[in-house]
Amino acid sequence: MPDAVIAGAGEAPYKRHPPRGTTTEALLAGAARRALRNAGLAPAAIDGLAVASFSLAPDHAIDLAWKLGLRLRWLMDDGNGGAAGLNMLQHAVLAIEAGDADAVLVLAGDHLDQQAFSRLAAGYNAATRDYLAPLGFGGPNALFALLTRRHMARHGLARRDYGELVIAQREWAARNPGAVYRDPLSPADYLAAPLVAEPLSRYDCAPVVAGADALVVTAGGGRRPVALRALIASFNHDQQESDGLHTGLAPAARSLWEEAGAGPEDVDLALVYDDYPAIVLIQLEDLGFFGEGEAKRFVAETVARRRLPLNTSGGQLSAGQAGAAGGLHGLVEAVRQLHGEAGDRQVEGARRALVTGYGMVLYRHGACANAALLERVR
Amino acid sequence: MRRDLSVSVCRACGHTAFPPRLLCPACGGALWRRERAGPGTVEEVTTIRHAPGVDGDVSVTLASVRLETGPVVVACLAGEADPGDRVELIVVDGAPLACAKEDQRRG
Repeated sequence: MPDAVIAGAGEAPYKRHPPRGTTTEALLAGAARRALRNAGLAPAAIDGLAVASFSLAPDHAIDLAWKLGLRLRWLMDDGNGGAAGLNMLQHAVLAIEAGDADAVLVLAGDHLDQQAFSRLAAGYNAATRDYLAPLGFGGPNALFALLTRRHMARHGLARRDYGELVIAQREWAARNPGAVYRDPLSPADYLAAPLVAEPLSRYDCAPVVAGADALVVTAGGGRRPVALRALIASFNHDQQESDGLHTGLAPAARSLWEEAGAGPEDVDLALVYDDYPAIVLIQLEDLGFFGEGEAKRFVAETVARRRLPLNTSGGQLSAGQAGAAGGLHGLVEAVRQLHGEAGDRQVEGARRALVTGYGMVLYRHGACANAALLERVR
Repeated sequence: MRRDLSVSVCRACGHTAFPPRLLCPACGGALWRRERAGPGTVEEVTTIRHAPGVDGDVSVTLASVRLETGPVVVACLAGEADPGDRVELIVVDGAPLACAKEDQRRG
């Protein structure tokens, strides 16, 4: 049974205002070409393809295979948004280890203009269409405003605590030429920003961009293989009946660390899904980076003092959220860091990276969550 | 058009769901009856100031409301209410609306 590894990663540059004529399929192709080049492989070596996108319709993964000229024996469409990146990686690794594919291209990306984004937000699922869209607001911001209020009340957090996280990520973004927002952010700037939905301001909501991300997963080998040490996944853990202040990662965290043979203290960097700052803290608590109810202390002692390299691309909050690519963004950044190719933001000696995914709001909060520990093999 | 908000109650175990489900998350039952949602308690409130695709400022106030029977409903808020206040839930033009009770309104 071959050991699957991640052999390469690439990203089609994120753009807040993409040029006219930009298409989702062209962005996906751009990310694919960069990832293949990074892995040192030609398209002809690829025999598996996984794709996640909200805006590729009416095309599917098979259409993309055709347009990219790929002859395949393994194919996957993934509709799990912010959890799609890790979900596709999980299945690609299993496909390779089962002998169903030798080299899998994992793609996610979107180009959603204002109109397309509003359509997607209002018709995200039937429950949204029937019970949330009639309320007259667009997108998930309001739901996460309510969730953030709960989080603040539960843990005694103030807006400036979330600001510490946002500001720390912006510092990383300043060193990432691929991030759409790179200007330094002061606590005063953060607190003075226009409110989107109280208590969330502009800086608490991931900016929508056009872009795409790609990984190449192969059966061992490669110049700088990155191994998947452990992965956990959870779908609909709470039936949308809990307060959303824990994800499905919490009950599975112990098995992640046991399988990985490591703990939170062994992680050199963490790429934690960040559509909103509260969600980052919730996942870190679920994974045991700090104890139940210690979010405020973690922000003051770890985030504010820069003791954990967290979302080193700037995260989606500063680098941008390219639709379904949000779920692959952290994986691509992890591979770049573990390859030692992260330029000015390189985490010295990075060997182990934690990556998470979160998403698919069914009615009140995300229903999908996954987490993986990646390790540089040599 | 204005009507009472209704929830789904499992005929087998009595579990209450909103929005409606196909099978009961508590017992797996497939038979439901519709019931009036009844009153609830406001848990959180937010006012939306900016919505994607909408030019200029918007001002929609939303509340998450915990029903006595369990589910949380996301609704527009009519009148003033704070967390802990009791509200009645109706549906106006397809949108769940939480109405603050008169005797709780602040002056």
